[in-house]
Amino acid sequence: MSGPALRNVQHHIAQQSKYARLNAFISLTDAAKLQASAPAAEDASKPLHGRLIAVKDNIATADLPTTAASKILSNYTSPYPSTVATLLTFAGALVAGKTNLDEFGMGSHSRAPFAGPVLSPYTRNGETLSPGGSSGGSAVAVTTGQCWAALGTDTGGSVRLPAAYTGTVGFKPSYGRVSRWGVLDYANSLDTVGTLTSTVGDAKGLYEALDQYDVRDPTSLPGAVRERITKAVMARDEKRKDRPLRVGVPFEYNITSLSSVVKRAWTSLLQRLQAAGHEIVPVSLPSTRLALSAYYVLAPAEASSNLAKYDGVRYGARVSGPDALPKEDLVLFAKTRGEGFGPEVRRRILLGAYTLSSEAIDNYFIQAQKVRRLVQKDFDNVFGLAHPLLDEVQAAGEDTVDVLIAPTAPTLPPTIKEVEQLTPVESYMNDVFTVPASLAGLPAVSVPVKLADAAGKVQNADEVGGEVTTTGMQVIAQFGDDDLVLEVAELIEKMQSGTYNM
Amino acid sequence: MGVSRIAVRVPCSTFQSIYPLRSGRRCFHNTPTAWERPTKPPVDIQQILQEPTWSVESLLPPKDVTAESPTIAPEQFRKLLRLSALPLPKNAEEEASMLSTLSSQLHFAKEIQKVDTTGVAPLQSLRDETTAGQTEQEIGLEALESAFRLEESRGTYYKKIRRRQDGVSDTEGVEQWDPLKAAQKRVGRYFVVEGGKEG
Repeated sequence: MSGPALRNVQHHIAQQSKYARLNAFISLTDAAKLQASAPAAEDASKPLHGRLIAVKDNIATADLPTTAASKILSNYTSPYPSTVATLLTFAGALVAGKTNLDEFGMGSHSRAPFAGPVLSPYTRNGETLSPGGSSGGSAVAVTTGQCWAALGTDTGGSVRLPAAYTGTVGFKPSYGRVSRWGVLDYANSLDTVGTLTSTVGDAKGLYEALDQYDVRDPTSLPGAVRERITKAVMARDEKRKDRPLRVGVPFEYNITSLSSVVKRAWTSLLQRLQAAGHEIVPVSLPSTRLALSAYYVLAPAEASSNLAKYDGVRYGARVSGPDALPKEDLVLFAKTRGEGFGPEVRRRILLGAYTLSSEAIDNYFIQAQKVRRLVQKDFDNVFGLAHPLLDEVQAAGEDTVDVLIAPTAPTLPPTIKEVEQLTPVESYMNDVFTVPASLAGLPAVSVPVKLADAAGKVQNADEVGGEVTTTGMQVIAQFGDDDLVLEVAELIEKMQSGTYNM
Repeated sequence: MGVSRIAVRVPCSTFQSIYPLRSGRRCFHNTPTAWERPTKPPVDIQQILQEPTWSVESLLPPKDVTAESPTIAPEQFRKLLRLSALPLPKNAEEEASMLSTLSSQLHFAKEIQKVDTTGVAPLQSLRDETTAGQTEQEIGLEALESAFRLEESRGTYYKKIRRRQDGVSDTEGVEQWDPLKAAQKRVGRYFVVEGGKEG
């Protein structure tokens, strides 16, 4: 038997060996096993039949280990699969393997000390570039054809940033749309499961298989809320068909360190949208300046609480000998945790322990949650669609927008050498454009747009590398307006390929 | 300004992917003629993006002086490590480096303290906060009725409420796994925690 599913799977397996040096995977499904299951997956009635999909290694699968790229989970295989992994299987997809990431998702360049760094296939003057993070393994696997699509997680930009750095489409749905059951918590009030794909159409197909209520995830959006959203979106779409798209341009995303190439790509995209008849509306989101600081209080605080359970007793790696050594000032489990967690994870746990401590909680943690509310209100003020989780205080004004469009990252990917020079706090700067949507739980997609000087360069689909030719532009919309961000991303995608008929 | 808007004909099918749209989804602007209504003149994009509005680097602590950054006393630092169940630094050098990182992280976070948040309700998590939604989530007597039916009072002077254990609970798919399987150390059917000797 040799249907298209088997041929596709064989192609991806060949790409996996070809690009093994990029370290995109932590574990791979056995190639023989995959090929054997491919014909059975040839069931055209299933939406993702025969599709090979990679899963980030902080999402539980029952057949392969789930390590989150941490030494503390180096020997761990979950007794049950995550809801998203189960849904993929239901839809006819095959799991390619588990992709590499920053330890527990904490980082922006996919450099977990235990699993080793992920490398981008792209270079600048011969220097290897950062793939972005924390879902860097998923992004690299997709861009090099090692799988059809991949799942990632996005807490503060971890799907969108690697998508922008690798020329892929990274979609973070609204918080609560896709189940987190079986996804290892990092910062639970911010964590979402997202997708990395080659095209927006693929993102839609994958998202459709995942977007449903899960009774086992207490933060999953219940049916009543989903219905409320659908009604509001349909009513808005009814009015919208008689007018052009209203695209907001947030002033605060124009920062001094925005590189000139990225700024040019942003400007040119907006000009093309304007020329196509869409309305460009400058907007202000003042709390954007505070978002990054608030995020780096909230995420480590939640992490310090969520990671308290890793002690090596019930599961995970543990050091030999006693669990406490009072004589050496080692409290219970300190040795296991000290050796099991990498330096960035330890730093964030410690920072979280401080910002949650009785003397600091009001000025740091609670204050950050209040700033988070301000960020949500800023977004709420500019969108025409009412927030489905909040009582409507006032009707939307005249100058509201449907979506916001801004860069995903301020610069093109840095080289690995440049990343190695960064201090921990300097590396937080990368997330400045992705964190605000995460704080508000909004849907956001990063879609590749061509750089001005890269026009006309043709990439061979099987040979990936050389200089980057794209950067990521982010489309953000109101909470629940996930379909709209994908529609607008598709519009942008069509403008890139020239199939958009002006 | 006298710039007129250009009406564009975009076939609806352009926006449909290889996947069929779910019911309720629709492509936008399929009646482009309506766009010709007079609106505001288009903004000059280059002009609105000319001047940067702020510098993200302003959040970083100055390279040479760390005097302005919040500091953590060594005693408090040790307490935080103990609370986090993390080992103490191996030497003075490591301690200094960890303290300096923590201090720059706190400098970075300090920005949020400059804003007046009086009267702002903290956003703890993204959940249904509408009045209708809150009512839906309320648990009333009705929802608990089946549980109450299993309760019975015993005793004459000191009444105790007990729950009848009728039959077997449905644990399908929840208890078919061995919680001890993943433990590295175990003794019989027990997990093991090995405390060190005091003093």
